[in-house]
Amino acid sequence: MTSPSRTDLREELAALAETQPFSPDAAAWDRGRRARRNSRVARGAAVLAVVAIVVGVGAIAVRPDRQSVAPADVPGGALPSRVDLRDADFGADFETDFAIGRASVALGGNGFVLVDAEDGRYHQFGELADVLALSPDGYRLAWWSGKDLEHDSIRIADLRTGEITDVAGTSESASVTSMTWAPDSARLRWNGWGEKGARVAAWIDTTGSTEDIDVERFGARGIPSPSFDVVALDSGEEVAAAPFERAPEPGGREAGIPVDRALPADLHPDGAVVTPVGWADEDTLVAIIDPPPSDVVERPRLALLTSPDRPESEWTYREFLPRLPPEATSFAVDLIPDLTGDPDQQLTRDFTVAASEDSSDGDRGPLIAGALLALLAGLAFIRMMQKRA
Amino acid sequence: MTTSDETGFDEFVAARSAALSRTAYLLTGDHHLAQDLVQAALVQAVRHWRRIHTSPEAYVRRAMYHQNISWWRRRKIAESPLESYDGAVPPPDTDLRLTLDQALARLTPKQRTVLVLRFYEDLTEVETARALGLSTSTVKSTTRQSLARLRTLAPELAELIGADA
Repeated sequence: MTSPSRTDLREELAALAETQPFSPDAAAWDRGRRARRNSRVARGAAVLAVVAIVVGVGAIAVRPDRQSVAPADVPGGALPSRVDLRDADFGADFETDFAIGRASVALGGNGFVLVDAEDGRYHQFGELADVLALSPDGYRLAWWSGKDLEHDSIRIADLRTGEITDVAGTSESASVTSMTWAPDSARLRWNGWGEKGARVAAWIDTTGSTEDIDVERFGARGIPSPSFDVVALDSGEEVAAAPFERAPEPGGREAGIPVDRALPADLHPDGAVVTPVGWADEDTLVAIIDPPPSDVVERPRLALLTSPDRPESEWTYREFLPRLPPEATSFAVDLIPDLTGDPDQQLTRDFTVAASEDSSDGDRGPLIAGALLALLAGLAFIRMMQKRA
Repeated sequence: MTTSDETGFDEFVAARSAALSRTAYLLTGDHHLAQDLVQAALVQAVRHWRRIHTSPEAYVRRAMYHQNISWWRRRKIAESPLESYDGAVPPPDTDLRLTLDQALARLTPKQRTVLVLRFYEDLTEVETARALGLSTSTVKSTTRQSLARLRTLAPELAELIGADA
């Protein structure tokens, strides 16, 4: 290939270019400055519009599921839809005033925590508690801090008044291993070991009177139903059926009659640890169900299960409060609403969503889509203005 | 009120507009369009004058190159089929310059711009590539294609362009 005759081509191009007349535009400067001003104004307005849209979309789409700033109050209270200590916004100091009103959940450990039933807030107290129990109505909390500590007694706080009552355990100094409120929230039964190594148990009336009970008798362990006809027991291990005891026939044996209530095998083929926490009504137990560790199961959770006293054809089983932390052991079960049989009945309250709770994700869809369209339109507008400028 | 910026701009326009206009004509092949192209590039230069006032010509020329291609795209001038497009044009005039003008008009804006920069502005392949935002190899291939096309369109330009291998 021969390279072009650069000089010749350039000369011809230059000659061609010389045919172009030159007529300068005196207004170029003014037009340029005007275009610059218009461009700035348009861009500023467009950026403001986009920022507004982005903020709006963000507020709608990224609205957190929990809002610690403005929790929604629920008159009378409710169980929270989630229990997570990461939601707690504890102050620098432990609280000392127990007059917090109704509580929904008690979480044990060093410095136990109560969840407010009406606003879902977390209250942390500096008391040590080896064992604690929140009454079914959520107005009383009982705890035992260990026999070697200052208060070698069971303490009961009235959450309405903040008043604390120390109740001497038994005639002998005992170690308390569990405490259970009667469905009336007025009596507390504790179980433990006596100084001589014997199992002991007693009922405590909130007025302070104590009655020792025979640990072998029906009702000396487990959580009794409101009628005391059946008692739900801790399974203590993974089981395929939740253990209960029925009341013995009058005049017969004093111990309860063991009866099992099968868990749904499809949900828990490997069984689960069943820990009763109370009764929602005469026929419905509330229990912590803790299946074995698995990639697909969120453990543990609360569940409602029909009492074995009912015919098996009536049994229902519903899980409703998943991902419980291990410290969450005691619940004010009276806060569960009267059961309607509707499997979708709302049993808990999401305190983290502010007043506009009814705005579900599905309702947000069109809003988000519309906002995104507006955002795209804004960006297109900016691009257009830049091109025009 | 006349600012120093405006004075500097006026001086630049007075000194360089003629040269810019000539390049603009080679880029567009149309006298009116060339005038518009220079004005559009100058208006754009005013908007960024503070930033470019120390060496405005490179900015203005670059703006012209890109604006010209942009206008062409907006006009959606479709290329004719290769047979008719690249068919030799019977010279209506024996004047070589007119033939070159007509042949240039049948190049694509990109081919035409590369030719103008390489053979009129005398830029190297690297400088041309930088000015148009192309790779050097693209500039090379486009130059080769442009010259080949000119030869096809106007065989009488062969002597001017150089014989192809």
